[in-house]
Amino acid sequence: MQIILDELGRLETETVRQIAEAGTLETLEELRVGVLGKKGRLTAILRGLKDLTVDQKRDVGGRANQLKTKLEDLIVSRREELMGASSEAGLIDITLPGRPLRYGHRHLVTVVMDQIIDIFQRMGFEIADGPDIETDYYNFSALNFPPDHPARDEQDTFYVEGDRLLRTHTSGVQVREFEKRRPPVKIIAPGLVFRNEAVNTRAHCVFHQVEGFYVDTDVSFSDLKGVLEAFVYEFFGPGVEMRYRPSFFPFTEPSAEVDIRCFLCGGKGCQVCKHEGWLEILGSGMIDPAVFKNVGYDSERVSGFAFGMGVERTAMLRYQVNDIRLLFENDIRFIRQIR
Amino acid sequence: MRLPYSWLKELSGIDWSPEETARRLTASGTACVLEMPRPEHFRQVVIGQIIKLERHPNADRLVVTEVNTGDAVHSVICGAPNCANGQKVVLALPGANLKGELTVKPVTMRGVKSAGMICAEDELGISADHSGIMVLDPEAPVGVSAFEYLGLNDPVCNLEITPNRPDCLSALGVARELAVLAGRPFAPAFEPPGESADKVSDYITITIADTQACPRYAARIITNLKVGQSPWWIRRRLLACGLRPINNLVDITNYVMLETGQPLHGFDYDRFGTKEVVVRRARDGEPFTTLDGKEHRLDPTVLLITNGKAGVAAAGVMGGLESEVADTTTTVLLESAYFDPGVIRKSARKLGLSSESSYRFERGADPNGVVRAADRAAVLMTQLAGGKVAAGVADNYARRISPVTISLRPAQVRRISGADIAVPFMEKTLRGLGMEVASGETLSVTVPTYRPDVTREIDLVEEVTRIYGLDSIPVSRRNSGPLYTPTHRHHTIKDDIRNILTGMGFEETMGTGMAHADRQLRIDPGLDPIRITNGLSDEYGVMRTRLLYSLLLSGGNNIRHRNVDLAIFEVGKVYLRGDKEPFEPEYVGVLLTGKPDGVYWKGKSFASDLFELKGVLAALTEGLSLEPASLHLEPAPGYDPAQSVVIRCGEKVVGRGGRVDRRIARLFDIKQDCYAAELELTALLAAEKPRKPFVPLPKFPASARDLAVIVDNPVTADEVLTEIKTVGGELVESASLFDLFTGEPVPAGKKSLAFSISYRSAEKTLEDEEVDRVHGRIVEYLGRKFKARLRE
Repeated sequence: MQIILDELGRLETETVRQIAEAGTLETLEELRVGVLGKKGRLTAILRGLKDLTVDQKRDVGGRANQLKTKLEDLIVSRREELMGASSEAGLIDITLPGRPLRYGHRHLVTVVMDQIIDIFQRMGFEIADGPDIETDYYNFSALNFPPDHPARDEQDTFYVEGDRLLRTHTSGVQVREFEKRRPPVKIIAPGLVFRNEAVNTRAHCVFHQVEGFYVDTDVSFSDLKGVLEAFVYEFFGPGVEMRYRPSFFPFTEPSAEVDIRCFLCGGKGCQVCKHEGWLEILGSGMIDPAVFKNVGYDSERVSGFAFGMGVERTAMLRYQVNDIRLLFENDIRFIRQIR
Repeated sequence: MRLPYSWLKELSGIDWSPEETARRLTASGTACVLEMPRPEHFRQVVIGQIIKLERHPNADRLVVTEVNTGDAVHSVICGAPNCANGQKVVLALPGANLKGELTVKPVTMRGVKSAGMICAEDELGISADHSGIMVLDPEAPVGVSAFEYLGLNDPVCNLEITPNRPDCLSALGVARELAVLAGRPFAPAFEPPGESADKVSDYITITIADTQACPRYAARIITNLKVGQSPWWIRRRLLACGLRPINNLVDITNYVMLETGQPLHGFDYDRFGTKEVVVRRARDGEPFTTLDGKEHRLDPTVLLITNGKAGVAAAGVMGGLESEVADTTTTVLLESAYFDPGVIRKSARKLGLSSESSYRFERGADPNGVVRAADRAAVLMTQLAGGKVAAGVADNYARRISPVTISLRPAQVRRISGADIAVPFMEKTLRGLGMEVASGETLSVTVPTYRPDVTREIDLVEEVTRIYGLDSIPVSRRNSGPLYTPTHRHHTIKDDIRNILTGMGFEETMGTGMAHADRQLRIDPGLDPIRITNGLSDEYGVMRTRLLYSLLLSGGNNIRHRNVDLAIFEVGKVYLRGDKEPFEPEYVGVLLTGKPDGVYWKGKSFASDLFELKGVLAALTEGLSLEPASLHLEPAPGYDPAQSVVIRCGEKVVGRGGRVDRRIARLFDIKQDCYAAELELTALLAAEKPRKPFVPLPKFPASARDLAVIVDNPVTADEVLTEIKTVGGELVESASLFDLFTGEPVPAGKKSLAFSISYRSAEKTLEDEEVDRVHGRIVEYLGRKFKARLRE
């Protein structure tokens, strides 16, 4: 019996040391199987107890079970330790690149267009769109552009087969929507527009516009200013100074160009604002009664405003892009810079 | 239009600074940018008089002059052909820095010293003229700074006049704006010319054949004229306005046009040919040479001024060469007329000409201002060219154009503006603008004919509000309008597509919608593109019929810049011919080429191929909650016939794609394989799965089994999968291909397909035996159906 007890003592000393030295979960597991497993050393000892007397069994058995519990506890806690810090510590070069997962970018025009649309949607404007290939009626006549009037020169037009043209502005959507609806009508119309102009750094023959209009029983220029101020504050920053310059568009009267204080120079004058201290951002005005007449609205009962802005221009201002052609060349090194 | 600040100040009587003037004009609708004087460019530049002139001893073309500047005499060499003794000239002394570019230094030219430079206009930055030195009026004071004497200390107002405001195409018109803004009275004085004993009727009669096109034609005759250079004050103003001085007679007509807005034309009476002016439409094929020397063949769109026999001027556009004022002119027939704006516009277009005159007539001159303008020019011709004015005006006012009277309800001003503008302000403003106002509940406003843009009440509302100041209108901060504004799925799906594709690493590109006809047709010969009839270049010759065009264009642009690994997409319209009107379906297109995933040190990176494209389409359709996408080999234009597919969601065709035809890719400078797909948005919307109730998660565990079978090459993976699912029935929860293998030990002509099958029952935990039984049945069935053999 003493032999057995001695063996237990040796086993304990040896195993406790081995547990402490086990460097990996695998070694620890091997150790556990070797001692406590079905064919393990301690299991074998316990199995040998059957030849002993009851008293001996009690003494040796108690000791062996005590040891078993002790070793199990030690293994569990060593396992915990090993799980907390794997053996690879110090072996990893964390500067190696991660698995390449691509993330794409929206086009600059989409990014800015979405921002603009989002602001107006929050003010209760509904999105509508119209055809890019338009008739003279929707693009010009219904918008109070008389035939053979110099106002048409301001918008050089591409004509296509079949007596149609490429819309020069998204304002035609006004007429199309007015024809379909009765006031109140509160809509923004984003889309592509075309101008028959030579392409250079500042102008392209294609660009995007967002047109907005609101017609109701009691809409004034004052309301237009409120909506545009809300837009400017949200898009360019709260408190940005604005000015309204009377201008001329055949389909609005009074008409105004809207400028904001140049956010690059604060109004002192710089290249971007052409040393004027102001940046033109959109055109606007009160919808002309002639337009209402064309769609069967009674201008004595309803009034409304309309505004339109160039998305590329706004985008270029925001990101200080100096060449509009970059927007349509689609170089991914350009697209990837957009946030 | 350019106008000197001093001129506007003189005519309007305002005392605002140039900056304030520009600000007020801009705020009232006449956008004004100032061009400020540059005194530093005129340092050491003075008026001098040539008091001695000799040939240069060593150079034929040069002269040596002595120029007196009052306090000193300078020896200066000059090479100008017009240099003469006694001239008053502009002398740049050493130290001058002309235009900030040219520094004047004492020099020795061929052995003779020169202590300065006698300047031409271009050297001073006054005009582009370098034909000779600038010769000043004889009374120019010697020794005075040229900057001041020449009036160059005067800022120029660069004005943007909107097409509705012809009245502002004149100094008086803009001055009227300034006066009303300053609240000052504005009543420009006109003196009629002193007249001689001659009668205008002895010289000329006027006949108008087309009174619609020419409601009024007036003329004055000025005799005894002497052609010469205009005084500097006129030339200075013309130059500041961007017009080139020619001679006193031409300069006066231009000057009066700039002052009053009324275009004038002077004919050399002695070369006019007859004693009658006949205004009529040109005849088909009628020849006419304009004074710029161009020969035209006319047609009736052109309104012609004739002498009763032949054309002498294209009305309102340009005079004729034959009767142009010349150095020998002594008698002038001075035309001041009103032509219909639309007629002049068409006429100018027909002639391919645009002049200061046509620009104003197209926008609308003042039919009731023609005589005053003629009088003004006649006065100047007497003063500056020694002319005598024949008595009377030959004035044929065939179709009278009278001022219109409009009612203005003050409440309407407030309703449209939202500002509480007082009635007295309205009245004062309208009167200041030259209108007659009769007070009352509604104002009765008579609008002068120089304001053709004001014909309706709303036009008066605009006049009042713009002078009141749009910046002064209060900002309403209420939100109003319909409470419910729906969103539309055909808009939101585009947002979803962009989110999904950018999330998968695709960069969004943006095309122009236009395309090059030839390349477009090569992509899809079956679609005849809509042609742009007045395009700028071939590149923008037609409307695109396929998004593939724009994707390849963007791809080519990138590859040219060595961005060869690409995953791009575009959402946009294509333009197709429809039955009645063009049809503009929207598409999403994707394009993959190179190795867009880049390299990875842990494993090899894949080049894009048809199966990457297929994976993208599967993820996109999953992301959009569409019926699952399936690809079917089928030739499609633009794609390689062997690798092109039709894409279906469920049964519906939603698009096509494949490997881009290499010959077409080459047209876009692309020499690497591209994989693309184009999906139509309405088809995608139609394939949206209906929203279904939630399916409870399985309660019982699944059992997994792998299965590798060797089948003949033509057997497709999909066929095998379908059979697995059919035979396995409800118990097969899912089955997926995880390996495809050919070559040893698989016999030639065969392939090994390995599937991972998951078995699960909704009712109970499956026993191993049960799974084995079903699995065995599948193996057996595949063996029979495809002669498939289990691979060990």
